[in-house]
Amino acid sequence: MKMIKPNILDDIVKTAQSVKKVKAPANMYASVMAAIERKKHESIWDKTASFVLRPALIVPGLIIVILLNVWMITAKDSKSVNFAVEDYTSATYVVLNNENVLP
Amino acid sequence: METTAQLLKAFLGGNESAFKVLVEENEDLIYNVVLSIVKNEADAADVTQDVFVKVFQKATSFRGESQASTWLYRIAVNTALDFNKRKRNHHLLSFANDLLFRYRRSSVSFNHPGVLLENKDNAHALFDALDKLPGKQQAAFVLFYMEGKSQREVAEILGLSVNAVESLMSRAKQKLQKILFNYYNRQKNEND
Repeated sequence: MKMIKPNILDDIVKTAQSVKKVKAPANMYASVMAAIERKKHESIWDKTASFVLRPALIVPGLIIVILLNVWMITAKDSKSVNFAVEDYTSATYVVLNNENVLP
Repeated sequence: METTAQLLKAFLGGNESAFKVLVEENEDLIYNVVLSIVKNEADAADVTQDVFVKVFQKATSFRGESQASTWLYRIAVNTALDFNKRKRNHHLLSFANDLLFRYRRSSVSFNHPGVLLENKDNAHALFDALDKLPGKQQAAFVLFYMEGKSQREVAEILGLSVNAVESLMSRAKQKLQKILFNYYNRQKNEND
């Protein structure tokens, strides 16, 4: 099929300019005042909850909890390995330095 | 008829009815800008309401450095772009749901009462393409081509230089051309 290169920009601009202006819904002022009243009576807990529950806080919070868990598990593991190494070396030291043990 | 700046000044001076006049005189203007960005009647009504709530709450922060109408437009554009961002994030979260139910929605729930019936397909394609542009490019295109603002006014509303707006517009047009190439090519082929 032969591709026709249309004057796309003209079409885009024509379409954008063909959009008619419309009237805002009725009673906009009443709904604005109702929203303002609702906001005034929002308790401090509502505001705190909506602040804390924002994805921008939830996601980093979850990452921190996961990282803390990983760190605690790895720190615990390395500590127990160190104990094992320490035990082994101290036991070996005792054996090697005990004169009553036969070689 | 009082200007927006005079109404804001009267409202700040304690005249609550000035706010009512300010809403009534600017609601159509704000609703149309918001509608061109959010592309849906019901969402546009909610966002327009949010815009005026912000105007009520932040009226004291208007320092008169720019025109009051520019300040209003700026709040409207930013609120509408924030709404789109939140909606897109919500769509991302429901992506898993879409996959599970093998259901893919259109990227834009398009419902614009200002679009003429004979232009509906073209306008739908254009608004769908606009949705793929970065926020500022989208806002610049809407303000310049649909709201008929000059580049200088667009620059003031977006808080940019005129040169930056020029470059935004040129990038927006290039991207739209790229996105809509296949669509318009198909239309032309069908017409010929």
